[in-house]
This record gives sequence, C-alpha cells and structure tokens, in this order.
Amino acid sequence: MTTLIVNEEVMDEVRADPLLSVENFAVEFATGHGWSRVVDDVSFSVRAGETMGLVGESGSGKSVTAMSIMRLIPTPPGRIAAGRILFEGQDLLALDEPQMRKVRGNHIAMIFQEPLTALNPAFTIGDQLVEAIRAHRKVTRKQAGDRAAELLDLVGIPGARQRLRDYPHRFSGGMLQRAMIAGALACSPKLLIADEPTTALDVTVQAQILTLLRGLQQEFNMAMLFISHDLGVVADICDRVAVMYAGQIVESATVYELFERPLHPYTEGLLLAMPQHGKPTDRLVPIPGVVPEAASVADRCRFETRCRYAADECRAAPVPLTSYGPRATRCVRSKDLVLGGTS
Amino acid sequence: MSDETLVKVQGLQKHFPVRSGLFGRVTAQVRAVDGVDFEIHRGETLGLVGESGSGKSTTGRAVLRLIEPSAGSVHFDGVDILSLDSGALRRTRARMQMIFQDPYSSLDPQATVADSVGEPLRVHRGLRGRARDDAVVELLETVGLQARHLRRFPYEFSGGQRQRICIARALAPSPDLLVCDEPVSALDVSIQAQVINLLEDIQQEFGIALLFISHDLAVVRHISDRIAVMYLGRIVEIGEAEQVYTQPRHPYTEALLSAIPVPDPVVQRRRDRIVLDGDIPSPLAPPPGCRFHTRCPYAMDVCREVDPPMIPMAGGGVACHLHDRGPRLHGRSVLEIEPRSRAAEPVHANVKP
Ligand SMILES: Nc1ncnc2c1ncn2[C@@H]1O[C@H](COP(=O)(O)OP(=O)(O)OP(=O)(O)O)[C@@H](O)[C@H]1O
Ligand SMILES: Nc1ncnc2c1ncn2[C@@H]1O[C@H](COP(=O)(O)OP(=O)(O)O)[C@@H](O)[C@H]1O
Ligand code: SF4
Ligand code: SF4
Ligand SMILES: [Mg+2]
Ligand SMILES: [Mg+2]
Repeated sequence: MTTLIVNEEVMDEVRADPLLSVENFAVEFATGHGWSRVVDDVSFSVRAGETMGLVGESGSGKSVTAMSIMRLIPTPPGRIAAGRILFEGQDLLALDEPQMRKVRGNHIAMIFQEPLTALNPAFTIGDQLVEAIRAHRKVTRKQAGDRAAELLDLVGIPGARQRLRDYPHRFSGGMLQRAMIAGALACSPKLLIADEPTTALDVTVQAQILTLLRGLQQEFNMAMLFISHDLGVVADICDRVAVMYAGQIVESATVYELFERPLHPYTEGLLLAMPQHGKPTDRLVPIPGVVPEAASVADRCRFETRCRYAADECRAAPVPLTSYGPRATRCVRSKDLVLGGTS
Repeated sequence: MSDETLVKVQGLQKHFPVRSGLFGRVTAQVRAVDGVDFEIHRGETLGLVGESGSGKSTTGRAVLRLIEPSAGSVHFDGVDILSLDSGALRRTRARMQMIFQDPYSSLDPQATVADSVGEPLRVHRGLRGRARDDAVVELLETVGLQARHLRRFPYEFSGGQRQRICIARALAPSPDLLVCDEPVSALDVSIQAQVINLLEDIQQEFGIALLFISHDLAVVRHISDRIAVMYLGRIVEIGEAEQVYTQPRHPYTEALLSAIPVPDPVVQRRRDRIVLDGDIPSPLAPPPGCRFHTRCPYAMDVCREVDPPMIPMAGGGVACHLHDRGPRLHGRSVLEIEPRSRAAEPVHANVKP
C-alpha cells in the first residue's frame, strides 16, 4: 500500500475561501424515457487568480457544468437536480434572472469554442463591444467606444480603432476569439469561464491565444475555469485540474501531481493514449470500448466497463469521490494501484 | 513498404475561381494548391500536415481526381489518371479509396451497415445476397466490429464505430491507396488511438499505402514513414518522419512543432517557444517571395522577393532560403540557429559551427 503525502502548504490554500465553489451539483435533461442525469455529483472550487482546468472527452458534461454556473442551461428541457454553486459565498442558484444578469459580465464572463456563433453577424465588432460595455457601466457611447478600442488593442488586434468598424465575417477565427476575450474583459470579471477557447483554432493561433490569456490573467489577477479535452493545453495553462468522465469528476489534483502520478485509471488511460506517449514506433495504448450509457453503470464504478484494473469490488456499488488531502479520486482501488503519468 | 512508386504527383495545382458581381464574373483565384510535387511508395504512409486552408484536402481530392486539377499530373501505378476516360477512371478508382473526418456525414443515414459496406462489393466484385453479406462480415471483423452489426443503421453507432464502418467500406474494393482526410480529428483521444492502431494493422496486413492528412503533427509523426508539411498551397518541407519531427529544416515546421503543447507540465512550461505573429495569409493573394515571410522569425531581404525553390536533400527536401542563400544550413536543422526575433545579432552570426 502506498501512502499519499499531504503537502501542508497546499492544504492551507485549499482551506482558504474559494471564489467559486460547486458542491454536489447535478443537471438532468428530459428525454423520451424520463430524466437523464448528464452531470452528477460534481464538486470543485476555483480560487481567486488561479486557473482550474476541467478536462474530459466529448459528452462528459464539461459544457453543461460551465453553462450552469452562468445559469445558461435551457430549462426546459434541462433542470438543476441537486447542489449549490457558491460565488463569493452567494448561491447563484438562488438568484433571480435580473440579479443573475448582474453577475454575468460584472463578475463572471464566458468565452466559447465557436466565437462566430456568439457574435451577431449584422453588427460591427465595435457595436457589439460598446453594447457589452454599456450593459454594465454607465458611460457615454463615445467613452464606451474608446474603451472598446482599448480592449481590442489589449488583446493584440493591430489597428484596433479601425477594426471596430469591421463586421465579424471580416475577422479570422483567431481574431474573433481575441474580440470575444476583449468583450469578456470589458467589465474586469473576477472569473473567466473559457469553454474550449482554442479547440477550433490552428495550433499556431492556439499558442497565441494561450499566451494572451496567461498574460491577461496575471495582469488582472483573474481566475479562470478552463475547459478542454486536450491534455497538452491543460498541461500548459492550468494550475489545478478536475477530470470528468460520464458526467462525474473522477479525479482532481494540481496539474503537476495529475501528470506525474494520476490516481484514477481513466486519467492514466487518457495520458497513455496520447501519441506523444512512449517511442514513436510503439503501438498506441487506447482505452478499450466506448463510454457506456449512464443507466447501465449506475450501480457501480462508471469506468468499470473500460478499466484495466476492474475487480469485483468495483462492481459492488457506485464509487464516491474521496479526498486525500488536496487531491480527490473516485476509485475504490486508489490505495493499492500505482499508476503512471507522463511527467 | 517498398521503394516502388505507387503515386507520383508533379506540379499539381488547383485554383478555384472566385465569382462576384451581378454577372458572376471571375474576379480572383483561390490558389488552394499551387505547385505540389511528391511520391508515395507502395505500402508507405505519407503524412500531409498543415494548418487550416493550407490545401491538404484539396491535394487529397485531386490525387483521386475527385476534383479536376488546374495543372500538373498525377500518376497512379504508372498510369496518368488525368488522361483516363470515365470508364477507365472508375476502374482505377476502385484501387484508390478515401475516408473523411466526419464519420457522421459520410455514411448514408438510411442505409444499413450491410448496404453501406456491401455496395462497393457489388459494384467492384459483383457480390450479391449471401456472398455479399459474408464478405461484409469479414470486413467488419477486420475493423473490430461484428456480424451482429450487419443490419444496424449509422445512428446506432458511436463516432469511433462509424469511422470503423467507413474504413471497412473503403477496404471493400481491396485498394492499393487509402487517402485519409483527418480520419481521427473528430474523435476523442482514447478512441483516436483505437482507430490509428486499426489503420496501422490494416496497412501491415494488406500492404496498402496511406496518404494521411491531418493538422496534428503528433498524430502524423506516429503513423507516417515520411511527412510533407504544407503552407498556403505549397509543400515547404518533406522528409523522413523522425527527421521532420526532431530535426525540422523549415522555419514553419519548427514553429508548428513548437506550438503543439507537450502533455507534461514540467517540460511544457520550460520549453523555448516560438509564437508566430498573425494568421495564415489569404490564399487569394499569397505573399510574394517566400509565402511564409510575413510570419517567419528568420526572414531575410531575399525572402520578400524570391520564391525559394524546393531544394532536394537526403530523404526529401526543403523550400527555404536558409538552405541556399541564407546562413547556408545546407539541409541541417533550423534548430541550429536562433530566430531573429529572439536573437539580437543578425541571423548569420548565430549559426553554430
Ligand atoms: N470548392 C472550393 N471553392 C473555392 N475555394 C475552395 C474550394 N475548396 C477549397 N477552397 C479553398 O482552398 C483552400 C485550401 O482548402 P483545403 O480544404 O484544401 O484546405 P485544408 O488544408 O484541407 O484545410 P482544413 O485543415 O481546414 O481542412 C482554402 O482557402 C479553401 O477555402
Ligand atoms: N440541451 C440539451 N438537451 C439534452 N441533452 C443535452 C443538452 N445539452 C447537453 N446535453 C447532454 O449532456 C451531456 C453533456 O454534454 P456537454 O456538457 O455538452 O459535454 P462536453 O462539453 O463535456 O462535451 C451530453 O450527453 C449531451 O448530449
Ligand atoms: S473503481 Fe475499479 S473499475 Fe473503477 S476506476 Fe477504480 S479500479 Fe477501475
Ligand atoms: S525562405 Fe526566408 S521567409 Fe521563407 S521560411 Fe526561409 S527564411 Fe523564412
Ligand atoms: Mg463542450
Ligand atoms: Mg481539410
């Protein structure tokens, strides 16, 4: 049996009040045969100024979690089935829509994978930025226009003042994402939720955007909830990481701990499946099978159908998320497994 | 893999006319592929990488003559496929198959697996009924599916399974060449590894050559014997996979490698990174001289005027003035010099002996 070393310094930080705290959160969607729980028992926190990564494969519930924090889940067909979302100690789920509108934009902003879909093609970039600024600040159009130019310049768009007059279709994907970031910064949010902000971009442009986000975050001491399916990007930008599988968080840790020694077999599987792992001539190591229907694994560890370490005890009951100091994992065998990372 | 040439592409161009105005006059040309040469050997995997819009898909489609090239030639097994009439082309095409990125839209939602995979067996091998179904089952088993999947429809499968069905369908006419256009880009990493292993197995078993198109250099390096790197309609570097990945000769290849994040925070945060300025320019009006000069950290005066020719080298070639007029790398890796944006001194002073 291996002991998990608890770093007291890290524990002090854990005990400090988080900016955002999601607790035992669950979301369900109405389907032909009743409610389907797509996010289940999700708990994590984001502290001021840090970047928390949310990583997992498509459909694992990352976007639904993010949209829930912004209260942007369509209800119906969706409903929040359990849990609390505390932002600076206040439960966002208890707010009415006008109160929530104040939170969005003033304190929490969000950027998306497809910036084009978030912009109106019929209005210029400048009009949309001005509108975003004036929705939250009592300033004149002129002042808002100046601020918009400042923001575009800040996110690295050359000739910012002229570009304000452009319509979105004149911007490349990378420039649109910069414009979205400018809009998100308009009200100096304490938390930026970035849902796969670089997934639709080329890698050289992705590198630019990651560099930009890192710089802005330091400049404004802004916390980020950074959602990605790409472990390389997560290794680059996150301080801590939560790994999602089939609607649940299966592991959370600091980025260094996660890559050096994952505690959950799914995390290990993701790391081993990357083409950069091992020698280029080695065969890749996939995770066998596919994500199962949630209902078919409701009575056991959800990863049991694909786990190479699965044993009888894994089939006995659903597995709770268990904390080991600053880390947490959802695996009954975490104490006797020694898993391999990439670091 | 052998040294026998299966595909030979020379001077390939594909320009798309851009029409505008009331009378739809041609006002410009998108130079999607603008003079590309390469060979694929029997049983070999040639990786084709580059960013969005660089012309990878257009190249792949032109090789199969799914679109008519504007100029150049494509020889398949010694035959100039651009000279073939439609009947001869159809017979040749059976030996060249294609699979696409989106396994959702490339299967007919109304057709069962037996019909999708069975159709090419009927067309090319004249199989019907029981014989056809038996052959389909054999193909399904090759790609890791089973006989019980025969009567199912595409919506009943996951993305990875659908890509397996597409691969089975492509294998049906026993092709010599498989053009794979971003075959794993829409798949999650764990499933991506399953499909890449499958493609490698199939290649081993049947000796099929692959043209593997992807924007992901890490995936391409894993599966390819050789890699060609495209930028704005041109191949800028081509060589043995290991050389291209670890000893790149072209500044764009170096930048591309530097931009792929390494899934290890310790290594990733210590790396010396090159962050390129700006976006890929429009293929409507590629920059004069070297097409990469607007973003190249090593650009010299000559680069703004003279289009660098492809200079042949051991295992491939590179199109960059650093190898002829510049600091004369002569085929050595561009990693040996400091990019101008990082170095205070002129580029020439930084060549290591
Ligand atoms: N039918 C068409 N008509 C006009 N332009 C086209 C057509 N097909 C492709 N293009 C243009 O040709 C260029 C190369 O396109 P291509 O699809 O080959 O790029 P790619 O390298 O495959 O990019 P991606 O990584 O986005 O798939 C692009 O600028 C594209 O917009
Ligand atoms: N509006 C909706 N109606 C029904 N199901 C939804 C809706 N939005 C998301 N889902 C489902 O919720 C699950 C999680 O989705 P999502 O959070 O988007 O995943 P991720 O962002 O991790 O790829 C998926 O099974 C998805 O199909
Ligand atoms: S509980 Fe069992 S099946 Fe689940 S991840 Fe741990 S070892 Fe694997
Ligand atoms: S030719 Fe000049 S601009 Fe082009 S890649 Fe080489 S050094 Fe850079
Ligand atoms: Mg999502
Ligand atoms: Mg393409």
